[in-house]
Amino acid sequence: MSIPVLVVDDSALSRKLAIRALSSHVEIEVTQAKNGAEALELFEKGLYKLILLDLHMPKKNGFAVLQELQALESDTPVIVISSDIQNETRRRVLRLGAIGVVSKPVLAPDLTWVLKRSGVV
Amino acid sequence: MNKVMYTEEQIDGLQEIINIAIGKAGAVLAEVLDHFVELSVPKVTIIDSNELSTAFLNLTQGVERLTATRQSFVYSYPGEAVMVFGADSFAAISDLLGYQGVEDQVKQEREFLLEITNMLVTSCLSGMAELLSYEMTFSPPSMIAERVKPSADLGMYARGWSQSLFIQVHFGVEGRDFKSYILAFWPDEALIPMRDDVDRFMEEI
Repeated sequence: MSIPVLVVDDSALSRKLAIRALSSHVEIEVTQAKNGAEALELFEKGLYKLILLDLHMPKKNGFAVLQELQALESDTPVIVISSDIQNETRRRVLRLGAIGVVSKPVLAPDLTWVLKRSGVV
Repeated sequence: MNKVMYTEEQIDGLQEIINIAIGKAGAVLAEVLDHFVELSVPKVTIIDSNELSTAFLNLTQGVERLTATRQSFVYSYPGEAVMVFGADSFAAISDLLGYQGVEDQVKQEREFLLEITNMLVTSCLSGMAELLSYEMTFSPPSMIAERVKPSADLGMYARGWSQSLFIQVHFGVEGRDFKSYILAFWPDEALIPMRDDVDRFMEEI
């Protein structure tokens, strides 16, 4: 059975890589968003078992999305996929409720490790 | 020479390559300052070289005075990176660097800005070259303007080029009035090899 996933990134290439990395591990049904604002709109309309979220995007960034999801008391697991590899960034997104952080370019083993560790799939 | 075009997908690919590279550069700056660095989405455009000056003026809108450094590099073809700092950027973070109370602030500022230029330009562009499986070489950075009003002089680096691949990257320091931009541009001869490299990268990953 496939799991519904929301993939949020302003780069089509990065969305493609994230989808490929994830689909190597589980069967997924993907919805894509190009920025944080679009992601939140889709989130309110759909039921997702997992969100893959970029941080630096136009319109609304990943930090703001995490804050809003926290305010909505969402329990949908979020994995941040970002090129921002500062330790402080990692601390902040985990404080905002992300279950893990994976550096870009995303590789299937890195994503699989976070998914297994967190027990999402 | 005919105009070189990049598809939306190729621009997106190059933008993402640069995005990954600036993440590394941002982490280096954060470590130097021991402070959180704000990154933004990089912009990649192919523009006619006579539009570079306008692009530069648009970028520096709202900046009263700026200081600029320059660093040349070679990646298949020679290119130029210009780093632009708001004139008060050094003062805004001098305490993080332990420079407060130092006598010769002007000398310290020059040294720091040249050092930061070398650090950010090389880690950003080397990161990009690494992803594209190339090596890049750099000249030492030099100061090209100190506390001047923004002007259209940037275009002089592209003299003789018909088109430029123009990259804009912004680094900020959280809670501080630190503004810095890296502008990197390549001549028209580099546009086709670079496009081929981006295609190869996208095929291989």
